Amino acid sequence: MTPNILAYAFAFPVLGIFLGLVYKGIDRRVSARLTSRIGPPIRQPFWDVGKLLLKETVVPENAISWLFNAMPLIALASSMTLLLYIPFGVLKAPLEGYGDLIVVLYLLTLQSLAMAIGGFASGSPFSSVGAQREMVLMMSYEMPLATVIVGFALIYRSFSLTTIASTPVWSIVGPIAGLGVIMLFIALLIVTPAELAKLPFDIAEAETEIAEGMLAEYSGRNLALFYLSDAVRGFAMAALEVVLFIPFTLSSIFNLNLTGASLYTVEALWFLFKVLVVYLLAVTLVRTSFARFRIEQASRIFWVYVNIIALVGLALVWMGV
Amino acid sequence: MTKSQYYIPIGPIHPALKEPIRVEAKVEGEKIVEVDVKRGFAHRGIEYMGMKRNAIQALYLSERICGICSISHPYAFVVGSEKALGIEAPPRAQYIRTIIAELERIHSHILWLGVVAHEVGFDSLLFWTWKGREKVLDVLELISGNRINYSMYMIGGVRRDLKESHIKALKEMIDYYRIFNQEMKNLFLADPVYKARTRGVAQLSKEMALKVNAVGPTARAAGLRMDIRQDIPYDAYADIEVRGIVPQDIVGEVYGDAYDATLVRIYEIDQSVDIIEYCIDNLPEGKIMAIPNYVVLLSKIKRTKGEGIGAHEAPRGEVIHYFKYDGTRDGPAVWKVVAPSYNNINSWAPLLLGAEVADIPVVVAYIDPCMCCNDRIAVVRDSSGKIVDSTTLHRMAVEKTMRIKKELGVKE
Amino acid sequence: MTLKAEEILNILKNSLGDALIEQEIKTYSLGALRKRECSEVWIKIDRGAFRKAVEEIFKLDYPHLHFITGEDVGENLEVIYSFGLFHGQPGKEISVVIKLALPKSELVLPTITDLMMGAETNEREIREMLGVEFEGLKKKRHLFLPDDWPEGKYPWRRDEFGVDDMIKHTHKSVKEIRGGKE
Repeated sequence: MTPNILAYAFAFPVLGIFLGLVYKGIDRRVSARLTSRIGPPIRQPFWDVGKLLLKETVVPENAISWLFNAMPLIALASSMTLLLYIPFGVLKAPLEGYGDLIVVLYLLTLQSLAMAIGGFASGSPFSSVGAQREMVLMMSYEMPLATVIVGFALIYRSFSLTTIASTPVWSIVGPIAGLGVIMLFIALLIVTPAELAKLPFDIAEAETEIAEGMLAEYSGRNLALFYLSDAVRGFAMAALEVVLFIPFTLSSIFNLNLTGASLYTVEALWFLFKVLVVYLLAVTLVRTSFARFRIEQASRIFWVYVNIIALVGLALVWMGV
Repeated sequence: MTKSQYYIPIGPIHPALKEPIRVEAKVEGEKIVEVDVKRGFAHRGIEYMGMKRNAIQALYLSERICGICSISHPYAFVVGSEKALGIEAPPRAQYIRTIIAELERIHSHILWLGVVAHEVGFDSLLFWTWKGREKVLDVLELISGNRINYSMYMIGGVRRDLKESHIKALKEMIDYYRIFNQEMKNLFLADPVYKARTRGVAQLSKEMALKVNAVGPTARAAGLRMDIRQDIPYDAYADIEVRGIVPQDIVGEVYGDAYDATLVRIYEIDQSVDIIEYCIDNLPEGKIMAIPNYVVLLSKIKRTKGEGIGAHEAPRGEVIHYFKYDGTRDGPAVWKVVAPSYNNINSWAPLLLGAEVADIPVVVAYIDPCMCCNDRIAVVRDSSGKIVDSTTLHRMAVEKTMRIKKELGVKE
Repeated sequence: MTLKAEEILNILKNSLGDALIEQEIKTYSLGALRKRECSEVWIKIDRGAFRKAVEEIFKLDYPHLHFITGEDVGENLEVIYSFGLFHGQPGKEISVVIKLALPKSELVLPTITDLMMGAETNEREIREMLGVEFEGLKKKRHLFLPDDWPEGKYPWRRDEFGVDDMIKHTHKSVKEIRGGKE
């Protein structure tokens, strides 16, 4: 491990938290504007976190307290680690070579799992119901998510994200496989709100039904950690989609001859813009225009429809490659 | 293996409940196996208070029974008192009363539609419907001076007359809601996700609706053709021949579920708009109070012995008031109020049994529960953080009414 | 099938016989420009015949229970039931109001929850507000009053079981509460 990586390892989480919160702020603002409200200022999530950190952290009497307190940390750590595997535009991923898409899949699951375990550990009936729902939902959307990753492994013969990021997927696939990749993209876009526990798949946190479910008993610092991990994960998920499906760099589109700092600045801004577009499309727009599904409806959607889309996409990719 | 049972207490404070009530549900997995409802968290003894006051004070007390349908209790109060006292309101007053009651039905139904959208997790629709509701609230504020608690009614008439400018604003509002309601039909009734969440949920059969004594849209959604405006027509409703709206008339079949309740309520907004239009087109001329002097009215109440039942079809169902004036006091000797939710909450226990946890908010919202709201003190701060006193607040409210009048182009 | 108020009264008269103490048909004309007649049947019956009267009403049509209320009139409690018959037919609904006197020494009535499930709310309310026991009523927990409400206190009673001693400010003017100072 070189000093370079260490520097990255400290810089990225800070940057990740900052970007995650900014995107969350933009998301809230845009969603409010879409529903003809004014909405909170974009820096509102920062204030929320600051306020939560100042509040008292309450551990319920009948909770398993070490498990209850450990889960927010694990959730945040997993989202942070996830961020370290994602190449930022032309920047290489800090943990390049130490893991691949499979690890990303596990890290994505780990955070949901941490929330579910925290819900079970808190001993509240609302949290238990929420945690059960989260488990059911996770079992439903993991399959299409895994299919997408297998599809990429088929194309590149590798699970490495750096390999994938270095060559745009569209340049190496034929028309049939291209169609397959589009279907995989659609499947991943549908999985995104479920992965991020946003409407219409925020069944595990439905506030009108089970009072925020798994998070019902969390407060203060623990809740702030979950809040942060949620923000970071939202950003990471959108970034992952950009890396996989929209890898075009600005310099390759316009044939720019940029070098050094200007290249990095332009490409970083371009990358952030792409992430923002994906975030707004897959999260903000969807959560503003749908009602919450019931758990068995959501399960059916993933197991039947999304799986069909993903598997057909996979088959097309397989035929094309 | 025995399935583990959870005990889920819902309320008295819960995000799905707008007012305090407690539903205790025993849950197996996601299925509810046992239900108990405890009410009375907002019981304020209003009937008791009313029996210690004079009739006019009690009338305005009755307006505070409910925070949403604030005119339905006074309506039943004046109808019942007029029956008991043998007073008859002038025709113009009766028409104005009907207009106000229908305006309130529009705003209450839109409010319900927004709430139910929120309960199924569709917040965008909540914001949109409530934005549309502002129009009728503005008109109500223009007519009565208040968005809620209009203080319009009086035993034997109404306190404020409708002016030409009000009628112009009403006509504008009618055009607005004709379009708005069409959009609502598209958004609620044609939306697949909304249909998936409400079809088959909170399904109340016709027999069950009779047994649990359900009233209003809840009963009508179950296919019972009951509506006080149709069964015991009073005021302008007798001239209009109102008919209760039931799903079998609209789509030909009855499920009695939350989707049908939505259907009934949306079509009732159309009906209300039609009633208001009829009333303003046929508004009779004349005075607005049978006994304009309150002292004379109170002394008449003090001299009269009589009993009466007043019924009004509130947005949520029938409101029944029973009065007994004993000829010694200027207020009611016995006053009994039955609000629609009093009966409609009976349907929760049979509906929730076997349902899923996700259905609780829809079942609860389905009947549009209206527990009497708790007394509250609202402390309002201005932009610099100073507490605004009630005089300033009142001045600001009056200024806002003036602004609305100006915006709607009203000149006194 | 609908019946006129007189016909309903006749049916009740035939089946109840002497138990029918008072009878009255109240007719109101409602409506603004086109008047409509609306009638109500008000009867006072002996408490022993209550169940029979209710069953007679249920034979005519499945009614809608408007309300149950009661008044403390000194020696007795006067309990009032109001049923709506023939609802759902335009302008045909007729209220049948049944009054019965219950001596305070024996405050017992048969329940009607077996005929109409929804009457449970009304009966539980009367039970806690006036202290009338309903035979056959299953759930007896307080409904509107808090669970820790003192026993033997009934808010609508005007005798020693009433709540006047529990009340501080409800029916006094602001002036009285502040001791004469504004």
